[in-house]
Amino acid sequence: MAIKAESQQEHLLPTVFRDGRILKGIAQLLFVVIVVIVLNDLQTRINTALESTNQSPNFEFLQNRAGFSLADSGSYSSNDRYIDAFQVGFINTLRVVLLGLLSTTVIGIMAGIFLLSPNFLLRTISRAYVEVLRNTPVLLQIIAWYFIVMLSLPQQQESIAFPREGVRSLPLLQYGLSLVVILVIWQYGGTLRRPAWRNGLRQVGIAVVVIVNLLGIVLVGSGTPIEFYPGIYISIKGVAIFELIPSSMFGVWMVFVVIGAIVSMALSRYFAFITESTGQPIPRTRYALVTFVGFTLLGWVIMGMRPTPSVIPVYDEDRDEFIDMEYEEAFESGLLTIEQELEYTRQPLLFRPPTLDRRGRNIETGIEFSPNYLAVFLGLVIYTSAFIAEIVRAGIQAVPKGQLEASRALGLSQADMLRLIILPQALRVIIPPLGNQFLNLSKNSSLAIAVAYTDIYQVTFTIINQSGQSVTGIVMVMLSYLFISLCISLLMNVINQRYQLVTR
Amino acid sequence: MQDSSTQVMAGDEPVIICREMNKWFGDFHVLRNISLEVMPQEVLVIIGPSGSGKSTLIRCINRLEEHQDGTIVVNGIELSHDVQNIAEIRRETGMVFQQFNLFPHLTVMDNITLAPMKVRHWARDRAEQRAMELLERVEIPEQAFKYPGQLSGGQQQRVAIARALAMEPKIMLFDEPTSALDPEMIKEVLDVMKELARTGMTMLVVTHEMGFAREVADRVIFMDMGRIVEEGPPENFFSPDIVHHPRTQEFLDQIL
Repeated sequence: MAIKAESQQEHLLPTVFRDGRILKGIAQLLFVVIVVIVLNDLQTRINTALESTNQSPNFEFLQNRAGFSLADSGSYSSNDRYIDAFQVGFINTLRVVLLGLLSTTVIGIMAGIFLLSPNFLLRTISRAYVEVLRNTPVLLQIIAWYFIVMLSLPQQQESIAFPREGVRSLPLLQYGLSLVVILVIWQYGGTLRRPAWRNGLRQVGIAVVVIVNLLGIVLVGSGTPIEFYPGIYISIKGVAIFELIPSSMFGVWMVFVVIGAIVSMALSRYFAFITESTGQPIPRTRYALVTFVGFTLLGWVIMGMRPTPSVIPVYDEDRDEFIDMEYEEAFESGLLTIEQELEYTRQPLLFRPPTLDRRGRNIETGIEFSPNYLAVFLGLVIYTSAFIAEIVRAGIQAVPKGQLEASRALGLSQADMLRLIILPQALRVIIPPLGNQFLNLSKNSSLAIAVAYTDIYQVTFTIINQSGQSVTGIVMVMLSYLFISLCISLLMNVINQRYQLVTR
Repeated sequence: MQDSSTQVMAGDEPVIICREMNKWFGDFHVLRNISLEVMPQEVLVIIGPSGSGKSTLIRCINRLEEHQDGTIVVNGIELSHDVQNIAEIRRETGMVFQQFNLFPHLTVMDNITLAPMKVRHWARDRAEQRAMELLERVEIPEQAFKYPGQLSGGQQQRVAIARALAMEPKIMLFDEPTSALDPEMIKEVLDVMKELARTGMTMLVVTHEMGFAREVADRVIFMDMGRIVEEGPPENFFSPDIVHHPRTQEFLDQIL
């Protein structure tokens, strides 16, 4: 009774305004009204300001000629439109972000596992790595990569090339085949029941392969000069690596690859079924891998046996006419056009080393990474990986000790414990903050402007300066980053859902 | 220390033998000169105040803790740094923890079938059939496809017992299996353990449930400060007529 009397003591407000639901509704309504008023005012001000300088926001200007050239821009030239320049920027940002996410994840996970290593040296080094890198600004790191590392690389003429011309070796294919033979003997030899036979077969088999290879080296002398040089060029102009171009044989070879993939997947399924129904453990992933690599190389070897024309017409510059040359001679002469090489080669993929242009200044063929790109890429990757390392470490440590004890008490092997108990539970903790780091990396890529890498922000900045279309430009940059971020979020949400725990 | 092997047991060889076993946590001497023999099918209850080393003792038996001195022989295999011996002993000993330690990301069924399939290389059919039998034995077959987080504490602990039994161990170690449970759930877990004892399982049980000790134990051990202070059959242990070691008497006075 006393309580009731008290609650009715003061009625300054009518009952309607004491209803919590109505009060909340009013608050929300007020908020919306304020936001609309502010936005409306902002828009009016922008419009009047821009109209006075005759620059009202529009998208038509994107079709105008850009008139400026860009580094890292592929086939773009200053005669292209603004929209083309914008596209160059967007693709350049994607180049940093996609490759960056992949690399930073790999490095971060490794560093994170090393942080928990029982090996003192490994643990201390990775701890130092993490502490130094995550406690200094990323902008500083990008600039350091550019000015300290990239600009101290040798000039074009003295560029580091690997492997160098004239290095001798047995054909690479032979090494690849030997490796596969060893793997096959090791893997399929493991199915023998008796340990003595199993070990015997493995040891004898591997010894035979090694002896055959050694004999090969003796017979060929010191080997033939390798054709694959240089694979990589490093200089002050950046890094250029070889290209592999699909030749006329590529399609047929892909048939082998696809069949190999299908067979190895079927094999893996079949072994999984055997394990389920008999309990017999089979390392099916390794079997599948060996089978796939085997098919791929088999295809390569069979392609090498294709019949080739004995003579090829080669264009002779001096005589300005086509002359017939022997097959091998034609390939060694270096006079074949790239189209001819692709047509007549026995290899499904044509190796094309990075080459310099005639003046020895610029990279003509090969996949090129400019120093600006590398500085941004390495800066972001290394910086973010330090955070990912800590996330991975925390995730693994978040798995309760009791889980390890229960697995041990049940007799699970170390590998099974890691794969079946620790990892699924650690991922649950790791994935959400990992997604945040992915978003950080993609947005931090806008720091590219510090080392003049032509990413989307840098390009748009130039477009705005020239055209005065600041509102359109900023909206387009915002939408681009939003698009990238939403894609990452979507991906992370899908992965996250797989690892959520079911509770009450 | 009195000899307790006067009782008639099914086997003649002890299944667990500890001789002069010592263990330290840093400077702290947890287990002092523990000598102990457990016969097949024996139910041994270990009681004592917290910090007396009773959990550590049974955790040494399946090498969750490493002893530093003395010998432990389980099922005829000596525990050393030999990883194969450790693996073999762990296959033959099941363990039930105070905190259940079920795998939260796996269903009840997968919790139970995981070790038999991965360690004993059973076919899935066989492991699942065995799991259902065990779930019926612990009276929760209807929970087979739920996740641990969806079960009550008592149900979780019964799943944990089923999980340990699925490996068909010769010895079961219970580390305070009812200490984390509500009073009404304690009974359902103890009932499962009693039933297990009746089937002739060799059991080492660390517990504060004196009723269980009195009813089920073949032998009771009292530990304090890392030593076995006193041991004997439960009739003697809980009888008011027997003159106990003063430390035992003090402990019993407090809990009975």
